[in-house]
Amino acid sequence: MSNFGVIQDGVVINMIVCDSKELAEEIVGLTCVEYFDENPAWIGAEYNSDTNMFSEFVPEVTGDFVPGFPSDEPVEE
Amino acid sequence: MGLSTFPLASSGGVTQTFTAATANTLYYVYPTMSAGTYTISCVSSTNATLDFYSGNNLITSTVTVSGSVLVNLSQTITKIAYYTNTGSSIVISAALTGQSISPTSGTLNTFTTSQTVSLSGNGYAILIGGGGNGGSSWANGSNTPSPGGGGSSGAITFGRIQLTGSTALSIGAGGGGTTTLGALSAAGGNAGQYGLSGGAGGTAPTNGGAGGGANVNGSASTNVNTLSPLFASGTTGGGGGGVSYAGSPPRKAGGGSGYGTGGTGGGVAGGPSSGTGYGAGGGGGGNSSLSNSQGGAGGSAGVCYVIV
Repeated sequence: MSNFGVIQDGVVINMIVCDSKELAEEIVGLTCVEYFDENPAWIGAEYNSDTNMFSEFVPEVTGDFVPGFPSDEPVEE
Repeated sequence: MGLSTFPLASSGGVTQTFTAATANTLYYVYPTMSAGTYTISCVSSTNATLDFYSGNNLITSTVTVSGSVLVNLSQTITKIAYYTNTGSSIVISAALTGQSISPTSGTLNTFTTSQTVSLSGNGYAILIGGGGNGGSSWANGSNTPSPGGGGSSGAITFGRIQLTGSTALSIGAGGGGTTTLGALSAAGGNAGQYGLSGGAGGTAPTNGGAGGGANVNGSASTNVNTLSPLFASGTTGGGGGGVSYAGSPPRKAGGGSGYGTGGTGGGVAGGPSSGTGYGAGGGGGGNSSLSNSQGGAGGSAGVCYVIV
């Protein structure tokens, strides 16, 4: 059983588990690409068919959160 | 005592009537009465005695009391012998009032991988989407670090579905994949927030359990059994949020049990753990030191249960 990104117009629209790429594509009627921990798919990721890579997930930084000021605690080496 | 035979005027599901012309005379009729419960009626001033036969085998006998009696026929009847104790031209009726139908039990089917479902019939389904991933924590080695939130569980959907023998089923992968069966769907869980963005837990989709924010336990989903009593009691849940190192607080637990359990958030004692079971969120990343940042852990894949 493997994980597959379901690709529509070059973008991942779902991630499913399936026994084979052929079966996954038959079920969803779209191109499916197996992914691994080193290059995981995520919904909204762009898929580059030339490099067989998904775009890297970049966490969105929202609001006006300001990380703590320089701490009183010692910096660990 | 005399003896007469009459054909029945009607048969099948309607009330069947036959007459005892004179008292203390034995009559026969030849109906076709399927197994079931019948109400036998006549005027209350007489007692009618009826013997029910299948072929020549006596199945049961009954006597009307105050005008009527219920009789349960265990098999198809082809002959009734009857007589009355008084009166003339007594009309006796037999009406089918109940019929026992043997049920068959539905069978539970569990699907953990996408496939074309070959079941046919009227199905009752529970779908759980894939759990969301935990958010990563943030640290830069000099500022107060910020733990990430836990991922939420997947949504849970109950529905009836006409299974055609070739119904498409997609099982949502961990990380927020949607599970679909025909027209039914359960959305995937939402990711926990990155620590630098505040570390909120993933918001709960329909019937799902929320991920815990930084320093907060994950929540359990709605109990599947409350969506449909056909399915076992249990929940899945969101992952626990990460914790920061100061004071070495305990790691935060994921929610849910039975169907899935959210992963534990990360902290001093270790990194976050992935959701286990079905549709559970991953734990959020914590900080084991001022400079340590942990990636969020993955959610677990969804599942589909079908009773048909």
